Amino acid sequence: MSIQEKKAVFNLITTIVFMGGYIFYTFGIHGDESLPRINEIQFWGEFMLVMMGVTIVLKIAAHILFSIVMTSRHKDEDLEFMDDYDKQIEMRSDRNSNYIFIIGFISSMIPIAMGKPVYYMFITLLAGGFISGIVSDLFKLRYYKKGIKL
Amino acid sequence: MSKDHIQNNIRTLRFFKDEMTQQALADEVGVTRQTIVAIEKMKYPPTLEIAFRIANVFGVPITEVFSYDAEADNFKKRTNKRC
Repeated sequence: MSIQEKKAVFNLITTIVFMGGYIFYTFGIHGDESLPRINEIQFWGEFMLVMMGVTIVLKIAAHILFSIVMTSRHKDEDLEFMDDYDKQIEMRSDRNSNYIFIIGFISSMIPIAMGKPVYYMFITLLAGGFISGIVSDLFKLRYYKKGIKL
Repeated sequence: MSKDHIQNNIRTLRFFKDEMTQQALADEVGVTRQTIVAIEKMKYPPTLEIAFRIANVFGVPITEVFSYDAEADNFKKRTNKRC
């Protein structure tokens, strides 16, 4: 497995663990406090902002650890090196991920237009963001395995 | 687009260059070994610049490294609507 593939797998795992972990922490462990507030926009604002902050900090910390481990294992290789093939794969997987996020964003407007409670919108938005994050890395792995055609 | 309209002889050329490794070729060309693997397996058509660099490493014209089969290339020709 190449360094870029290892990075994609690592990103995939951290996205699932950190985002999934925070969602479980809020709605599972602290469900008694959170669930009665799901109709409040203020709750969702706080939840989204804290989740973004927490996941960014944890991801930075995890990436530092990952870089240390990878540097010790691949002493001769430049971890940040990306050639044209890597850039093409990154652009294509990011494009696919953006499509998923846009679909998620538009879908989140549907329950609001139908007069459903506000948490439908935020849950759809959250799911869209979560799936798009995962899809990006999954597509990277797929492109590295199957190749790309221009 | 057809699957194999661009072929290459990189594996053969590496063999005749003292069984040059993929890593050695990748280093000479300035890409990763993964990219050389993808090019050899025809999973990725390289850019013109990389193609020229590969030909340069083997000291042969680019047509000896890559070949193009126009009949196998089922690309859609553009039609000019203004005419």
